[in-house]
Amino acid sequence: MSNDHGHHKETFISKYVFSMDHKMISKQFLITGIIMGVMGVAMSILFRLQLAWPDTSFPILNWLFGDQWAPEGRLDSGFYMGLVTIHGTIMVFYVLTAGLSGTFSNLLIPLQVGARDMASPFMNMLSYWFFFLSSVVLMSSMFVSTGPASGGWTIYPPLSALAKAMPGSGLGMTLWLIAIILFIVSALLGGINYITTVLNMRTKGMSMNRMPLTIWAFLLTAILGLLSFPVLLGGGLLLMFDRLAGTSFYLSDIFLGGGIGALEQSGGSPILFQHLFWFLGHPEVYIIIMPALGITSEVIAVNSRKPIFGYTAMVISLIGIAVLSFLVWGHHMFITGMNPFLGTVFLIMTLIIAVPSAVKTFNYLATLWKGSIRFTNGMMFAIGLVSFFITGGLTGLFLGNAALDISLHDTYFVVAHFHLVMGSSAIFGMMAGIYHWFPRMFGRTMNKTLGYIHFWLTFISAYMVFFPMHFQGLAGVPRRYYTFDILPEFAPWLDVNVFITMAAILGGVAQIIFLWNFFSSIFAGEKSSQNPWGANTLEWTSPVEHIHGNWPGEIPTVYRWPYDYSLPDMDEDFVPQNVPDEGSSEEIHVTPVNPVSSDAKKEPEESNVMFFTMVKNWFGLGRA
Amino acid sequence: MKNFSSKSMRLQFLKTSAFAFLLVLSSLQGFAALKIETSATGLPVSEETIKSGEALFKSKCQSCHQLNRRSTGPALTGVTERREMDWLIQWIRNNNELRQSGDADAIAIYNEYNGTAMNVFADLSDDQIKSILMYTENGPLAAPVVESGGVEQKLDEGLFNKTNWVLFWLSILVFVVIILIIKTIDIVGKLTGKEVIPWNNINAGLMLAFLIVGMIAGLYELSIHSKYLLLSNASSAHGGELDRMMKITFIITGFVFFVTQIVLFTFAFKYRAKKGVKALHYPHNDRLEIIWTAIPAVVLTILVLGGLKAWTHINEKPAEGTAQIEVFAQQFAWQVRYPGADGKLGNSSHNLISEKSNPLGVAVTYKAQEILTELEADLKYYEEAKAGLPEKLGDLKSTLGGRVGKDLKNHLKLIEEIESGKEASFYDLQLRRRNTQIKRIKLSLSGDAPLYTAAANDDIISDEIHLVVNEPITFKLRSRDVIHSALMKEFRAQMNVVPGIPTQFTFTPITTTKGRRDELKNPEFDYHVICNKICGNSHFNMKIKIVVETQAEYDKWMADQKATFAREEAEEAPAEAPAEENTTEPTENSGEVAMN
Repeated sequence: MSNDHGHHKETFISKYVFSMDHKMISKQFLITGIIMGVMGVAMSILFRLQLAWPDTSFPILNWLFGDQWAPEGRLDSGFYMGLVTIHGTIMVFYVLTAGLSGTFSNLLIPLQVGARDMASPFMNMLSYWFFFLSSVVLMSSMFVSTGPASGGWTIYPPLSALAKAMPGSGLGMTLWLIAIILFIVSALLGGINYITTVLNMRTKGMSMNRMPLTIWAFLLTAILGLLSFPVLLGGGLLLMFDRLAGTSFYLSDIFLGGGIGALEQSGGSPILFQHLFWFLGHPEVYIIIMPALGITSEVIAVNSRKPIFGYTAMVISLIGIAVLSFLVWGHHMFITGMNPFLGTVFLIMTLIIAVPSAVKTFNYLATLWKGSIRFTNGMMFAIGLVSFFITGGLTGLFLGNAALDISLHDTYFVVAHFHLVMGSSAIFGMMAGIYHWFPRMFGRTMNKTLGYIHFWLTFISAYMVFFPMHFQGLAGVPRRYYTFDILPEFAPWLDVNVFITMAAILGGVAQIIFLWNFFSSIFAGEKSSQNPWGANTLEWTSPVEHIHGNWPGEIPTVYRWPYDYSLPDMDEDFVPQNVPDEGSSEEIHVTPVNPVSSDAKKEPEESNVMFFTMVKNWFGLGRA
Repeated sequence: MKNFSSKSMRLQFLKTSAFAFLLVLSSLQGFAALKIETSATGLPVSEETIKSGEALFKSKCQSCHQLNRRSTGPALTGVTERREMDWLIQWIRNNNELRQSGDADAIAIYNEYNGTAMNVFADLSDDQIKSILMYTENGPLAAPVVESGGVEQKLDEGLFNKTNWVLFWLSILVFVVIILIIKTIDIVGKLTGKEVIPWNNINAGLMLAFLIVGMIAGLYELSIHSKYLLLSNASSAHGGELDRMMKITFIITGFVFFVTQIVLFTFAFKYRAKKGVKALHYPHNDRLEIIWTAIPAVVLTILVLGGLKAWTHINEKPAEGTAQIEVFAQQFAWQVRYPGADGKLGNSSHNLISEKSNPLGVAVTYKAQEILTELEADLKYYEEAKAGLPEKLGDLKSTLGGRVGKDLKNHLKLIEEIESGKEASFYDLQLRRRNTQIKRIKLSLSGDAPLYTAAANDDIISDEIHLVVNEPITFKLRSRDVIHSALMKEFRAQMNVVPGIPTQFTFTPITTTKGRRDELKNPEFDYHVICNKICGNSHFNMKIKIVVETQAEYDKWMADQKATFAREEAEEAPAEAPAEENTTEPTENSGEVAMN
């Protein structure tokens, strides 16, 4: 291994476990995310069984969960809610925040901006291990006697604050809160690192306006996370106090049945929690989707062999989305009893945020126009993302409209909306990223035939699962219901539920193909060439064999933006960023270069490596 | 017949004999309406009793119990064989007291259902409880004709499911075969060094095929499901406006949906890589970008303006003198309070709630006195319980021998709870809570006591909401415990019910229940409020019926209602005597209402 920082021998632990190499950490994030994703998807299939066949006994459920949670082979109603809650939590935070943004920010930020590692590799390592710990705590809540948290992933108090309000509000809820607090620590440690690296450690010539859109997306995502996660942390801590210390932040005027009686707490407001929650919760949606959009921009440009259309507009819309995402949280709360005047403000802001989203979509379409599209696996998932983003985004115009939200709030329409626009879209963005950068991660390519089958099955089944839910929602079918015996009007939807569940099982089966493809390709995939997709960005210039510091010699200098595809007077249809423009090298240097990124970067680089070594020695990891 | 639904469930898995057997079963149902001859309740078996039991079951029990399958609580068929009658009556009326008295069975049930406590039904009389129990013995008394129709439907469903499963496994098989074939071709391709399958063209074609098939499938689904969608014929005055806006949004988004998806997949197909064709280097076009920023902005402005208008209109302050009712939510039931003759709702406080005697916590002075007495008794109970802990521990330990399995586990849990001090600290907490509550009630009673007004005296509490057609009504929403949400889908109305924060929703119903039944050609239809914010394990079964009727019908119904807090004897009767009567008297009304 040609490694110019290899002045210490690496042990198994320092290389694969407590690694501080951003590439290894990204793999750790990815694989943990995939494992959590498997659990999240499996849970969704379990509760879909209940929705489709509420009267049927499935002995396997009893075998899995025992008499307490699946008596007579049917899920217990509380455990059903627990599965729904943990499914939501896992997918939103563990898969689509850490698994997506954690993986690709870690992998791509140093490689695409031309840095040897993250600004603080040690913090980066901590970020992963907090995430890991958080995953363990969350999953452990499945094994406590009162069951996992089951008040929905939004954990609204008083339900979540009162241990006696439902079994899942007992120890399971406390563990949920601890898990989320650990998760937030992880997200903050990661976010600070991403921002610092992007701002300070770009290579020579990599001005902000030459950054690939992926980096823009990761940067803005990290900023969103840094500004919004602490608010949830605060909200969660206050909830913890209400649960454990008898405070009244969210509690007031409560009489609890079951022999408990009137509680002492007074003066608190349950709505306050909703404000704090959604102040994170809404930016969180964009924390999830923006990296996926960044990845898609890159993948679509590479595989259409065209520059991304309207680079500046894309950046401006990302910034617009990021800013506006802090001003729309109230659209989750139109009918919570919040002052209706606030509703009008949030209505306006919410519909405004649709504009940058629309611009992004149109720009994707324009990028495809007159392209030369290569249907790589990554490209297909990127196209799938655009399709979901359109379908799910449009229904946002119903839900963002306070008046229409009166009937649609908390119905299956909402479920359909967010599963398409942030669920399926972001999963597809993640898949596009995995297929596209797998060669960069593991030096091999995934089997493309299996990839095609995975794509088509997933794409079709996702639409089959979520499209009919719009109709259910428009008929007023509420979400988070265990059965639909309550009203005879809901009976016709049982058939639809059967259909959806079968589609969900099909989608689940398709993921097995993916898992097989992913894990077998790590060891037995076809060896990848240096730049398998013919892409312009810097990560494809670093050696296939992973080395510390990413590039054996000098870090490449950047001479152009990353989207010089199919230039009219060139034979090759791509020109990597590090290729000097011989004809007009003077002109290129006219572009103002961020001084921090060019000259001052040598020093943090050095101290960075020193810090890296120092900490390793401190932990005794570097010693043989 | 009581086992009918579980039988038919199992029948789905039987093969050829199923149909014949069901026919026999259905013909049997035609004759036997009464399934039982004697009842463990000791009451004579009669259709009326069972019917009133059914009505009570539906209003009080159904949110947590089913007859034949476990729900949030146990299945109730056969419950009279499992338990003693006296125990059942005590349990149903107040399971908390039974548990507090240390009844082992009661504690075991509580533990088995993961610490979910059953609601208290202190207002039910012995006979009412017995009628419910007789209903569980007999099962529903539905008209035989409907039943046999149900049988065929069930059978169809079973067949449908079976075919689906066959199709499902077949399709998985087909996929596996396809994968194998593709794999083989792949290997051949690798060996020969040429790409056997032109994947790029195939995928491009599939993109187009997906577009066409997907669009057709979507439209097909719209055609079969549009009749269920709540997009027209709203039953409230503001609903028409919302329906119109919903349709406009539908048309706009539908148009954009079709255009953009068609463009996306057509581009994907049309611009697939072809030999010798280079992509067009076309990085931006400012004019185009301005156009497609401006168009969405304009369209969205239109939607915003429409939304703002409707939203402010719906949230307008109700006109002076608009009728008000209070809709009260608790885990997992709704109740409604009418203001009575004076048109004014009395005040209320969660401190005045008593599951036994004042479930809504309405501020009535004599109720407050009663509750103080109840609370004093509670204090005494908790003090004694705490003092008796060492003794209880000794008892538990001495009866440990001979226990096995679940029983042993539960027993050990009880011992552990005492030894760890958990139980003692629970009693301390309860004592503190009760003391605070007593202090607060006494404070509210002292001085001018503005909480207690005469407006409360004629308030009427009911288990069914009655509304007058074409009269605006304000729902004052109040929650006892957690957040609920009152969804009334036909009225396009919804508002969360938040503990500690009063919320309200005003609307005008414009279609009577009868009228709606005619519209839907469904004589069984009823309006309901259902809970739409997760509120606990039985969230999915929390509803209350709304009857919209003419003024005359409403007046007739109202005339039958008795003021809940009216006292038959003189106003200032000694505190104890009327208290006794009033605990059962007024609340029986609500039971009767449900039975009507």
